[in-house]
Amino acid sequence: MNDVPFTSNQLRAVDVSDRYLDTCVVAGPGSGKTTVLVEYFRRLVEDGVDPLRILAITFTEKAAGNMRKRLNEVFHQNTGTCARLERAWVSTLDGFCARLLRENSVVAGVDPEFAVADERESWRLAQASIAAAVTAVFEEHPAAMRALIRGLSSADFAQALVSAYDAVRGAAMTLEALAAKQPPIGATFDEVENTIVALRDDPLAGWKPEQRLQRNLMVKEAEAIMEAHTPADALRALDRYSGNLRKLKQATRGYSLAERLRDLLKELPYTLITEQYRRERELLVEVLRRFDLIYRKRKQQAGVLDFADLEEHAVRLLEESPQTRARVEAQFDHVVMDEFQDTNGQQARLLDLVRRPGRFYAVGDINQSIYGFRHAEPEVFRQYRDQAGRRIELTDNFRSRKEILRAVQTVAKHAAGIEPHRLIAGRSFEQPRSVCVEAIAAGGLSLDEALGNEARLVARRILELTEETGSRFAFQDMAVLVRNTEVLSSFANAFDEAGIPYVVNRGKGFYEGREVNDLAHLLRTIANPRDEISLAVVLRSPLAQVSDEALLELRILGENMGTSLVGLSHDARPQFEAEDFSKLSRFRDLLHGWRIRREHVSFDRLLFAALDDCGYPCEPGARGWTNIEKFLAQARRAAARMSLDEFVEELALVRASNPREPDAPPERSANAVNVMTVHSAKGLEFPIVFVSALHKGVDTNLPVVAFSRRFGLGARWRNPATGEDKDDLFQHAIRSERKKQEDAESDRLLYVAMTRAEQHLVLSFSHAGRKLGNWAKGVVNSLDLNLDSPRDEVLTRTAPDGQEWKLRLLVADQPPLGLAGQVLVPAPEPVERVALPAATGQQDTKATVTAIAAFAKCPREYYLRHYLGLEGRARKLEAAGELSAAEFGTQVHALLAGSLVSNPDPEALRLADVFRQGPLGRRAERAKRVEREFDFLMAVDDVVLRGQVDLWFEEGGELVIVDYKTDSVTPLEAHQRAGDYALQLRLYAMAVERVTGRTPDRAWLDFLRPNTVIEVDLAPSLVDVPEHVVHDFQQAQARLEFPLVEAAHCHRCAFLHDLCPSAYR
Amino acid sequence: MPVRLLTGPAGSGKTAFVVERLIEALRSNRYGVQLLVPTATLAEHLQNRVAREGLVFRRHLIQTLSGFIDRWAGDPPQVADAVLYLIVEEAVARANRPEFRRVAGLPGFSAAVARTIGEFSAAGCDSRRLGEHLPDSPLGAAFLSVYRETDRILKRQGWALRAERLERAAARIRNEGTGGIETVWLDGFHALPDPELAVIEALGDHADVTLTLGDTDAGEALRGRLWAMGFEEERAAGHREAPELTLVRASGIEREAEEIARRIVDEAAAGRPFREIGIIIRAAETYVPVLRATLERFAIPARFYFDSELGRHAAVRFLTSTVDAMLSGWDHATTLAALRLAPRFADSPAMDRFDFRVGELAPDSGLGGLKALLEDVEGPLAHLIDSVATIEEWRSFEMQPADWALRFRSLRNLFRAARPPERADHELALLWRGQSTALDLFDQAASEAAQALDPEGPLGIGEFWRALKSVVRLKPLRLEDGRRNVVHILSAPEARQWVLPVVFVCGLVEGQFPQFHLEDPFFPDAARTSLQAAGIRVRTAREFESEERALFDSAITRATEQATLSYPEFDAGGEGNLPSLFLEGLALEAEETCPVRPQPRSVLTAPPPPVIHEPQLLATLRLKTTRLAPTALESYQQCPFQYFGSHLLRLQPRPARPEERLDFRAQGKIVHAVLAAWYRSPEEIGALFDRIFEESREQNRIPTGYHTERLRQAMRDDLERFAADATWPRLNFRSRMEEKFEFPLNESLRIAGRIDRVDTAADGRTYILDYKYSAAQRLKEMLKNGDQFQAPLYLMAAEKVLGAKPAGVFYVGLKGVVAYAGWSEAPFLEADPIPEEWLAGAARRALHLVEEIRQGRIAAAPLNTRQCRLCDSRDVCRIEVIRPAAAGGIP
Ligand code: SF4
Repeated sequence: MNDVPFTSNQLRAVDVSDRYLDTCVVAGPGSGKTTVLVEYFRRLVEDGVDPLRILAITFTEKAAGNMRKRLNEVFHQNTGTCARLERAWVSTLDGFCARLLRENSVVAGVDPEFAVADERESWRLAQASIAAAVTAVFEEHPAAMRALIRGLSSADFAQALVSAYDAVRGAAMTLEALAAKQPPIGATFDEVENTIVALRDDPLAGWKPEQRLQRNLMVKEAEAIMEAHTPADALRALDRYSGNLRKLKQATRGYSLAERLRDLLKELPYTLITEQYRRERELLVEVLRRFDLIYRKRKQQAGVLDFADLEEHAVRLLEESPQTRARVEAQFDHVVMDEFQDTNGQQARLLDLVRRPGRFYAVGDINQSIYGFRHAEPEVFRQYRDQAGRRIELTDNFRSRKEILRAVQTVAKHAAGIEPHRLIAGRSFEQPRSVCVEAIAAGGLSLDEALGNEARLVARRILELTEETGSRFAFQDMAVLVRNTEVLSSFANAFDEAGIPYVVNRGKGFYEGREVNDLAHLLRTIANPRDEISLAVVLRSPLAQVSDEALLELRILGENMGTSLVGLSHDARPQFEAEDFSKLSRFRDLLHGWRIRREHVSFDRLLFAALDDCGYPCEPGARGWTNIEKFLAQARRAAARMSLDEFVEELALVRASNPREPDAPPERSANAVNVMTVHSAKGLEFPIVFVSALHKGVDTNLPVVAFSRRFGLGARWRNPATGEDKDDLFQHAIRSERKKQEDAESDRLLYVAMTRAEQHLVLSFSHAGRKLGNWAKGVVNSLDLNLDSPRDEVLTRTAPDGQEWKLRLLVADQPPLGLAGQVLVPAPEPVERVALPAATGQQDTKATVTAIAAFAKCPREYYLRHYLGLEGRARKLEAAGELSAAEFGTQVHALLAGSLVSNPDPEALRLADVFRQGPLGRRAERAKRVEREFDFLMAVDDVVLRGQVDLWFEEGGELVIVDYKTDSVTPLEAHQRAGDYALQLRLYAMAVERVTGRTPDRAWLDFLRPNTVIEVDLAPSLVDVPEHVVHDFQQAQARLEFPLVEAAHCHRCAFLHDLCPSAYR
Repeated sequence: MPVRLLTGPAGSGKTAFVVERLIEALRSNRYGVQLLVPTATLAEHLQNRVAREGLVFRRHLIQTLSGFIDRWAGDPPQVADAVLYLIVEEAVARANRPEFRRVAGLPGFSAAVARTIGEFSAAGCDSRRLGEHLPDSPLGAAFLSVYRETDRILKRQGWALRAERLERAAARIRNEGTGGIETVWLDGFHALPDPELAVIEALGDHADVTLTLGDTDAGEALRGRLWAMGFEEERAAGHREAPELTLVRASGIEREAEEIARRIVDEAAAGRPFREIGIIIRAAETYVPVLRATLERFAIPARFYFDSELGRHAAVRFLTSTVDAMLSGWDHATTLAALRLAPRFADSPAMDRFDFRVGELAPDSGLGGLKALLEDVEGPLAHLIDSVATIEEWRSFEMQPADWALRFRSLRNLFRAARPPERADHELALLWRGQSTALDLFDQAASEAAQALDPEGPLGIGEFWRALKSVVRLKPLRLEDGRRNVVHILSAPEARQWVLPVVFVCGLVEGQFPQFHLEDPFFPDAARTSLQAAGIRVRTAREFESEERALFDSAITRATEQATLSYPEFDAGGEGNLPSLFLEGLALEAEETCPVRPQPRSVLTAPPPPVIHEPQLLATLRLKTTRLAPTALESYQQCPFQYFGSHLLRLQPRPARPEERLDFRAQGKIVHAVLAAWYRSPEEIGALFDRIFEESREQNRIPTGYHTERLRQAMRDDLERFAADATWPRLNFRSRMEEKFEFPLNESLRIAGRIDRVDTAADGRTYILDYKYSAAQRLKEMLKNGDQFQAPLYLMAAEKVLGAKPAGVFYVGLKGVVAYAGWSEAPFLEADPIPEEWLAGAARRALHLVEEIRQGRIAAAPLNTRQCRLCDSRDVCRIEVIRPAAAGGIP
């Protein structure tokens, strides 16, 4: 609608000349409010307001992103503004709070490095915290807690408390304020008493004796209630109260007194229950307090804040630090906010704290307020709207055909929850449509069957609409919206049957799906294959796909199937079908491979490996592949925080709670029908919308413990007299309040759902002859639908404004014929199967001379010690101040290099002296060129070698190389070992030769401890040519093949009989 | 001495110029040269480059500036980040500023202070200098006092910050000369804060210095400084062709990673070595894991130039969790978690068995208890437990920090690496290689922790362990990977030093690249601007953001041939991303990704049919079905696979968690036991229940607590309600409890079971009663189900075994309310009449079902899908009762 000129109301809305007046833009559905917001922002900036001085708040991240993007488009010519826009405050309220808190973390008292916990993490922390809180309170007050458990009608109040806690925070109430809440007024004893007295004292003129008798009985019974010593006794007495009015003389004062008494006594139990459970209710608040403490503590330890914390801490920061508040207030000339009707109490408070009078610009629509379950308080919007300095109504709808708008208004007229609001069609469509609104009523013997029929009828209509001549509707142009996700599987089945592609988001049962189930059990199997359930899942799945016979054989083989599998040997082979045996053996080997990597690589890598190893079908087009991807992503994130065992445990817990899963990222290319809840369709629009399963409402039962901002915390208790459940006064009041709110919100939700449609709207529901409920009832009544017999007809209806519109009504109690098999779906994009590249050249680019020498001696020892860095023997615990052998060696070398050594070891000093006094030492003194500690780099055959020549010098016409050894060996051992060092010295000689351009003449090994000097032959032996060794070395690394060289040196090798497979004796 | 500044844009050949000069010098035997670079990676890269030219030279001729100043700066050594953190923590406590009262204990707070101190110090602003120029900001004074305290502790404990060492080195070089170095080149630097400039200036006093700088780095302030130092600017003349730029849009990060992998595979197939390819990442937490997984999947060897957390490495986790287990008094769950990390037991059946046994008996504690669970007291697992037991005594030690460090350095002896597999691949070898690096760093951490603690005064393990854990948490781990032919995965800052033929830059969405920079909580931008005015070069959030731009420009110019930029359209939550605004200026048309998968390593065959037909197995089935309980028949009738799973495979899951042990089966057992006992010798049922419940609780190690209490109360109420209930004229009957029976149905099938209660009246009428500890609703359903076995077979049993012809059979529902539902000859308690032909029918059906079992029919076919929820085989059978709605199939 960018090209469409603004309507006069829109023009008023974007007019910035009134920008110092608080403004409320009431924006009906499809009225182009985002455009208005962006335009208002633009005009502010063009009028000279710095973008950084505008705070713009949206309801979702997506909306914020959108707004930024559109602003960028608007200003793309102006680089200066664009640069400022990058830092502009355009975000959700949570985003704003997070930024505010981070930049003021110290004053706000939050961890400067806090992370925002996602839903799942906060859920996990909250679960653990509530369990800990209940346990703690239980340990401290066992008797009271037992009484609480006994008293609460549903003992499983922990979850209810957690939700109540959320609500308390959403309402910006403290637990102190909560505890201090007085019960709402119910029937009082005084009132009852007075009524009894009045009844007792009534002269009963004209009453018959038996009528009088009855009155006396009544008074007596009522007095028994009054005389009870405890509320419980009173409840019991009340239970016995018969109070039969029929036996009284009617139309008398006495009669009306008795009536009044009856009404009072009906209300009295709430009072009595409140009284009876006063202490338990206090204990409930105590549990909440404890939960609050523990939950906060745990979040603090984890360095996270949850979403409610963001708002709460931001409010607190602004309230407690006047300077910060002043600064923030001064920072923003204008506060612009979208979807204001969905604000909760806490958020409203926050906004009050940041906006200056006359600088607030809010957009919203009370009729689209549908977030009561997130504690939104539409009242906030209503009040603001009615007081704002400027109020503009956007009534033109640029989304829907006029017939749809008329249908919406016809239905809305009967809905008490919808404020009257005109919808004027503002968009013109090229193609006319004779009928744009349909109702489908599906019958059946049972509601289940009817729902199946409804889903099939919807599927049929979807197919018909894609085939409709003249229109170009694709699957992705359609959305099926429902209120309750329980019905989704019926629609999924019908769509599968009809070959309709679809994408469902925000649903339950994610963990029950076959693919996710397979992968989750695979992780459990990797954790411990003794878990036979998991093992059986995996073995039967495409990961192994063995037969049930094989499972039975495994069972017969031993006490545990996992053990049988792991220990599966060739002896067992005849037991199995050949194919099963090879599958099992292969799986056993794979499992071993995954298990040894389990703590080293992230879980998604294990799973990927498994999927590819096993050929598990998991690619675009495969069943459930988006679920697989999502699970992999979860696994990846989890691997950063926990061990496999912990993850497996968490999965079990999460699965048991059957959570609703957030959306998987939609596939761009998917031409698929969108199936979603109405809530997730907010802000979206589709050419064709089905609002389906209108008959199916959601569970609005009040939980056993509930909260309302007005009344506080209520609960439902066990009536000690009857054993039945009874609300206390709080809960009683909350219940009726909630009922009203929910009815209204339900109306608005339907309104939102219907107004998503652009061109065509279908309302569908099921019934099985019984009374209609939920939205179906309102729709049938307001549209005056006759469902008596199957029919397919076009009706004419009149909207509240007198305009007529056409409605097609389809009533059927059978599924449509010939639904299946009409697969019109274009084949999914072919998946490219790539052959894996051969990884050559995987050897290291560099090596040390020592490593090369070690390799020459025994490649396996080199591999274990140098390549993998393993240690063969335990290190000994050094005493304080004692040097390790390596440190000692370094010291001697340093001393000989002439470096400064602080606190040298006396033995090191001695050895250095041994060398200096020796013949080589003395020659070095005399040399004309000396290099000590020659730490060099040299390339040999593509490997860069690093080595350190202890000493080389030119003296007496000879070029000499010396290497000191500080090993504790005897002279004899020194001679034995000298051979091991020959290659090393030859490589040194090579380096020295390249530096000096001259071949070294001699090389010496100087074993300092036994004071033994041994000359090394520098003429290369046939086997030990340095270039060849380096070449072999590279080959071995590239292939990862390091053969054993079993010889006498094995006795000195720390890996013998342990990490090395050698059996050398 | 001449000092010159060589500037030029990316690709103008600055590095090449420097390297050529160095090679020239070495070739002509001039060794008084020095090439200094900012990072160790770059140093190594240049060393290799020069060595491959055939030169042999001392390694330190090319090194980092930090390494270079070591020999000039002397003691005290540079403080490690983790140690600085601990010291700041202490400084915060000592300074005890009211402004910080609320946040002082939070881990992130000291980290934030340490970071800002590090930043200020690097800019040459120590606490003294900050004190002189303290800007007007609410927290400035408080911060300063912590900074001062930190400086004091550093001094006392013999540490220096890097800047201090640079300054000391500068002073020494200025005074003493460069020790024979005549020519110095500095290449690859970007920021050059004041202390580094001081060293360069000092070098310039004695040597011929050349400094290269990219055009985007040579900002005004820096140029000003350099001019003041006498630098003369020259321009590098080279020119590099701009790479071809491509933009790719993927739906999510997974697709994006796959697309990159696909393109790399294509490149490799066309003959390009992996080492000529790089991937540049800005948001490491998001991209490193997904790229690791994806590249590994596509068998693309890659080297990641990223740190990971030392504390998360398996080897270190083994050590830390062992110490934690010890400190917990060897709590069994904690200890088990530690033992499971012992590398030699990753795939050990003995450990698996042990794991389950511990799970069955948890919660408990003490090593003795654990050892008692071992099957093989001499086996490797026993040795493992013995070896960890050696640290037990540490708990009683009081030692100096240095001695603690020594102790903890011996901890690695507990870690015994597993033998590497004979046929390892390079990825696996890398994992093995990582172990010793991690252990070495752990040792280092122990020393650093000791150095951060007050060296005087002995302390207990608790205090030392807290410090060590902090160090371990903060210490970065980078695994050695020297492979030659790998794709390089680089962070955007690191990549500034690199030039590669083919480069991918991923994650180009707002908030990631560019990252959003927030103002510093201690010194917001206003305060920083005033510091800048005083000559202290600290950066504002705005400046950080313009650096983002520079990083981006650098990233896309790293390639010589082809640069592929990419972004995901949606984030993990399905929300749309906003593509990076940086992309706007490039005006590239985005390409879409192609779905791609690696060739699977095995081919999936059709699933085998769910049936048993192998003759020997069928014989086994026959054997196993000669004697059946009515419930088994019902199970088979509900679903053959359920029967297969629970009766033939008898699948055992992992042991239930303690709080789950009181499940509905356990509850049912207790209730049955109480009722049996109560009928045998009537006493107050509540007390009886309490006794039996407690016995069972102890036996099954069910923890006390709220859940147990809740269920206990409910069960007790139910039993009391039952005892008080008068629906059943109990006194009119004589009762027999838990009657076992077994009788043949035909020659090959015997029915066996146990009847909860048989009530016989004086007139001989007999009723069979079966308790159900489930809600009344379920009872009604049972009654509706005419095809059941339990009731008719019980009747038959009573007739055949007990010798009585029963007048009826009842289920007694006990949960919530007492409910009777059943069948009776005479009208009684609203019972249904006993159906005609009931027993014969049941017998026929039973025989038929048994025949089916014996024929090997086991395919899942639930009679009532609602009951699937309660079925133990529901995950195994592959029937989906709840369809996952999270995402539908796209055919
Ligand atoms: S879950 Fe249902 S279908 Fe699966 S085995 Fe159990 S009863 Fe059979």
